[in-house]
Amino acid sequence: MMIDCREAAVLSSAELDRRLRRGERFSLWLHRLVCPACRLYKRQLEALRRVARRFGEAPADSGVASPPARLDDAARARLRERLRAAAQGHGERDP
Amino acid sequence: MDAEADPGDPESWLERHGDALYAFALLRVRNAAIAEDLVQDTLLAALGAKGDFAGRSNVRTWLVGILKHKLVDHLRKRGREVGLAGDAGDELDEAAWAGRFDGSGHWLERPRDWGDPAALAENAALGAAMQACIERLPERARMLFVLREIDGLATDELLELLGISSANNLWVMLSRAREKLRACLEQGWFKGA
Repeated sequence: MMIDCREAAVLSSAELDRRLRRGERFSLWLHRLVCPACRLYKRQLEALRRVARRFGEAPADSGVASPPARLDDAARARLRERLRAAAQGHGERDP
Repeated sequence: MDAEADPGDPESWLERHGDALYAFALLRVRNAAIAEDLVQDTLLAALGAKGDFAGRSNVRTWLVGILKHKLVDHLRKRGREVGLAGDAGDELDEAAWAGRFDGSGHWLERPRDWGDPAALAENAALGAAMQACIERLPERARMLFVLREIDGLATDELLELLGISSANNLWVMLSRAREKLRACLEQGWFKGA
């Protein structure tokens, strides 16, 4: 019934992805009761998820993202060029 | 808010939303040329689908929605190409994982107290640190982490998208990916703090 930190870490991750089986839940609970490090690990994984979700909420205007990657001038010019060509073609086909 | 009946023209999309689309794509594919292609495909698809816009949402949300479809197509192809499903890198993963614990299965370096998870989510600098750590992850770990933790895809969606054979494999891979990212943040962020 007793699991070590290594097994507890796998289950701590798994419980973010699936419902643990009864025995797994009990083992994990028991382990955390006596292991402060694995209690912290659980909180760290929760923190990772929260930061990640927050980060992904609104790309580039969440205020949380770092100065995001930007298109450089060359890339922007290439894209503009292709869009113009496409818009023209599009206009001709579908006036 | 800025829901409009007419989404405007592709050049204005590029002007106003190009960087956001690019950043969104780059976080998920890491390769600048591919990210640029995805932005292009998105804007071209948007041009063709302009009639569907009809002011249902704001322009950026609409464009990001199209980009997500493009990304899924790309990842599905890419997932199979790089053998995300296979065992490339598994031995390395296992060695790194085993290196976290001593012979009796205890942490060699105990996880630190990061403080309240909810408060951390509001920390902009931590978000930036996470982004830097994500960029340093090996490709498979990065895709798994982003798709699961940022995009919130479910197990069956990930299995299908990345062509991974079993849910058990996926969950193990996710535990390794989370651990890599956690260790990176702990080293780079919390240790110095």
